[in-house]
Amino acid sequence: MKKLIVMIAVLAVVAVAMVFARGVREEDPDVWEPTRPITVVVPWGAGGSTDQTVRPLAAVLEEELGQSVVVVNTPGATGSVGTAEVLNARRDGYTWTSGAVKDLATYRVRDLLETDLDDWVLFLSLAQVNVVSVNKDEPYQDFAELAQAFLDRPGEIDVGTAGVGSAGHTAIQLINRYRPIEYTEVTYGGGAPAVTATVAGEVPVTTQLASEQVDMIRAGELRPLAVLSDEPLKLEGVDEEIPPITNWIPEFEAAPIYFGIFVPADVPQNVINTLGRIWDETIVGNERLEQLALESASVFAPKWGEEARTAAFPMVQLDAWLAYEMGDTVMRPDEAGIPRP
Amino acid sequence: MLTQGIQLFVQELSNFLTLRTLFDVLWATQLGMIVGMLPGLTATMGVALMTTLTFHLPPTNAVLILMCMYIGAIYGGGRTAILLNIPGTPANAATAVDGHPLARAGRAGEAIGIGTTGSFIGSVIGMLLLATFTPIIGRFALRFQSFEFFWLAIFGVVISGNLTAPKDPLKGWISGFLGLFVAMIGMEAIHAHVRFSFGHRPLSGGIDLIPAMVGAFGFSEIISMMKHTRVELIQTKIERVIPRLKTIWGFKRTITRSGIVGTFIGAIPGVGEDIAAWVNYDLAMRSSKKPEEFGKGSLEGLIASETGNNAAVAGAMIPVLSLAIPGSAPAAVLLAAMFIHGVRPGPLIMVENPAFVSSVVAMVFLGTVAMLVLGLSAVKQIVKVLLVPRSKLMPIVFTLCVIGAFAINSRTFDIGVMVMFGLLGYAMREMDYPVAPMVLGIILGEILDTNLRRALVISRGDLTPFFTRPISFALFVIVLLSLVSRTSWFISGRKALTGAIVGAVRAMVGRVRG
Amino acid sequence: MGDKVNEDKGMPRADFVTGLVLLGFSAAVLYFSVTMPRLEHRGINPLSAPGVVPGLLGVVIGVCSLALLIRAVVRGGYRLTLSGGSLAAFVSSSVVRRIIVTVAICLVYAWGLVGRVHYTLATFLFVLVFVLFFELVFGQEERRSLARTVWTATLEAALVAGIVSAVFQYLFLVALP
Repeated sequence: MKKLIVMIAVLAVVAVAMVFARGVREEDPDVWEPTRPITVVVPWGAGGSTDQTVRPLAAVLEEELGQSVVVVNTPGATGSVGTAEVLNARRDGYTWTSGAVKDLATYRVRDLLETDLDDWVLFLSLAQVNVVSVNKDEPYQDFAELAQAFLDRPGEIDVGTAGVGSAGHTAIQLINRYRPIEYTEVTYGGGAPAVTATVAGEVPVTTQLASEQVDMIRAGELRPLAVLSDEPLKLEGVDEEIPPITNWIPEFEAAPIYFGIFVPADVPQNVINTLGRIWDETIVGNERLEQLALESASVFAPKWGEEARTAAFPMVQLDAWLAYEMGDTVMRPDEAGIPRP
Repeated sequence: MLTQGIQLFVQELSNFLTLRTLFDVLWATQLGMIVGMLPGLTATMGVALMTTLTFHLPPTNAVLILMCMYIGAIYGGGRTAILLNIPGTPANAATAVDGHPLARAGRAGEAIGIGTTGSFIGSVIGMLLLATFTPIIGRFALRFQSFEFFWLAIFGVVISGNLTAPKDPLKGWISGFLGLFVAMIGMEAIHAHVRFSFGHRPLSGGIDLIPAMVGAFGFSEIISMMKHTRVELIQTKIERVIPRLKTIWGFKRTITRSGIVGTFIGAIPGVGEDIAAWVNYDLAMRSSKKPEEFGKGSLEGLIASETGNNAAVAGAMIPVLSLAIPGSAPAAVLLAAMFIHGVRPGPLIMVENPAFVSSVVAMVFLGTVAMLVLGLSAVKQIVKVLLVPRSKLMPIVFTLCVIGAFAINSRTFDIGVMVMFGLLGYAMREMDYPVAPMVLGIILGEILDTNLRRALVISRGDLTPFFTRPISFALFVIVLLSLVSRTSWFISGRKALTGAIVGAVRAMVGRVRG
Repeated sequence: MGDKVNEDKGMPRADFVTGLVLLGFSAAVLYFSVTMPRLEHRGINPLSAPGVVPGLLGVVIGVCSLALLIRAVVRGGYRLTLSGGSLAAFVSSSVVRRIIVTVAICLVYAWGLVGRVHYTLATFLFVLVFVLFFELVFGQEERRSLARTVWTATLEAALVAGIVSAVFQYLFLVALP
């Protein structure tokens, strides 16, 4: 017993010493060596698109940085709750957020959070596309039949999405812009529950991301009608490709939705430099991340900084102006620095 | 088919029987138990934490560690519920109702032994159902849609209110509905509109369940422990931890029912171990020969809730495997971890990767055995917690409450929430309001809110589907019965009715015999 | 809880007061729910307006508290008496003093120290003060020499502070407050 007490006491002293010893190292302008765990907030539920993008990334970064990268799910309100927490945290480079660029960029115009892209440095890894799918028992065999049904029975057909600002919400609004239709939007807490509800038959149609539907499409539970892109989408393990929506709406202009990690722009420069170097040297060409992207029906597209911003911006413009036209915003997007596409 | 399944299971199990794997099983389960015991650290957080830490291990080992963590955490929370009346995770709130009175009567060792055995058997029943009925149960769970979830949320609050305030269910229901209201605070999940925050920024993120729970159970318990000038130290004599087979056999119906019902509830997406424990506790009391002992230290009540919540762990894996839909919050994290490791469960898993299902069954088995062994070993030492004078023990508990509340989101706001709910919880206790329904209400609030409004949108405002869809109707009847069964006219009426029926049956039997 | 037996007489009175408070609370909830924006400008289905469910809950809580109130009145709980003498007796009772001290020490730690003072130090101080206060000032727990009490309390405080800090920071990866 005595030995035990001595051992515990020694352990405690060591622990206290370790606690006090942190944070005394000198700063190097280029190299960042984190001395304690880094938190990356996933402002969506566990298991969603953002979560699945961030967790593997976190594991790779952990190896590169030599420090734990802890993923914290803080869902709520299109991701603005978790992002607000990162904005309120100390800007020491130890707290990041994540998600889709189009959400981050439109928080201000949607009156969800006072922030825009200038406040962040983007480190992106994936791009995703939307797919219009119906429950396998629905009669619609192609997109034209579904579009006709929307016209024949205005307002009667339910569309399952993850709510305001979600990928599925933007997708059905975009379709609406090219081919005005009346529909009833039924919102769920996330992409996965919306897809589940479509499989269960609570709603007939969903417009969520391909990555959220891929397993159900492969299993034949959902029938994909069109991918919101100008190229067909080939899924692993599915023989037929999903036709592009431009087969029916030739003038349709879609843009991929980019997902990644966002670091506040005013953190120490060595944090940004170090992450940028990891992106260029390790993330690009990482076979494991690439394989994961393929399995989840997304495009592996690592980029960071200005390059990332340029790639993601078309979707930001589309989304912001679409929201403005639908009355979802409190200001004109160009007042917030988002010009009309 | 069955023999093939058993063959696959034995094969997968033997793959796991290496020294390294067994070591992983033991430490992961033990860590899970510790996470479960610490107030504020939940199974969800434990599994999420391990997901990142096990990223570099081979997929099956990583998933194995996560499974053991999950099983251990749900079980471990029962320890503190029994010993300190502070459930370690929300799933163990029903365990405290009977477990703590047993500990106060000096029967802590027995209570832990019974609880552990219940958890073990629950887990085994869940495992068997997981192995045999995965596709069927998975399909059935999909029939729970918005209308059904609405009733399920109401049902949870009503039965929890009934059970924790047996003398005065009205106060239980008030507590439950207040909990539902607490969940309304902050940004709502459909239109991102901020409710009831009155411009207060942290409040717009809502009140997190964990700090509220830690405060309502933990801090309020500290205050009521410290207030008396003198307390009797509980003399616990440990004669036997491992329960007699006869005792367990006596509860065979309760155990079987709790295992099956727990697995089914676990399988319903979004509804987890907490509801499973309450429903089984309710069922056990209704069918018990000694319902008056419930709440005062009934072994039957304890075993029902502990069997139920651990069966729900295996149950939660059913929709994960068959539909890639998590049955509970920790299972959601587990599913994400499987994706990250390149295992994609879903409707095709039985076709593409049947070995994986058997492999998960084998994992549940290993975790369950580890839980039984670890759970029954060190009981004598753990029960000594009861001998620690409260002036020494309670500051430690409060320290853990503070850091546990903080650990979830790293916000000092949550510490404030914990303290406020502690004071509120204490005031409620003093006036005979149970706090457990409030905590359950906070869990179920979002389910109620989003599903009710979604159902109304789908039905275009029509209320009839709430009563005409088959499962909805059944749930509605059960809720109605749970409500009226507690009114005095119903009880006297039922007694008269059963008396009449028994009399009539006797008369008929007599006539037939005669 | 065994100590409830002699409080039973006071319960209708307590129920009367809480009934009133809850009724007021539910009215406030209902008011805020009805006046909550319906978000028409965003073209949102009125059936999914944010105020729907809180409003219903307000009604349900209102009904329950009304039932509570009526029952309390029937049992005679409306006869509220509050004399100076009973109040003084209330405050000076040792139970109340112990509650106040417990809550005060805990509040100072949770709201005052954590986040301002280094976590490990704050925890050390809290445990030390808590143990000493209840063992020395109230002093009914154990009768041992002063030096020994202080020494064990210090050891306990140091162990708890060190172990909790280390475990949460390095095992559970929590950035301490």
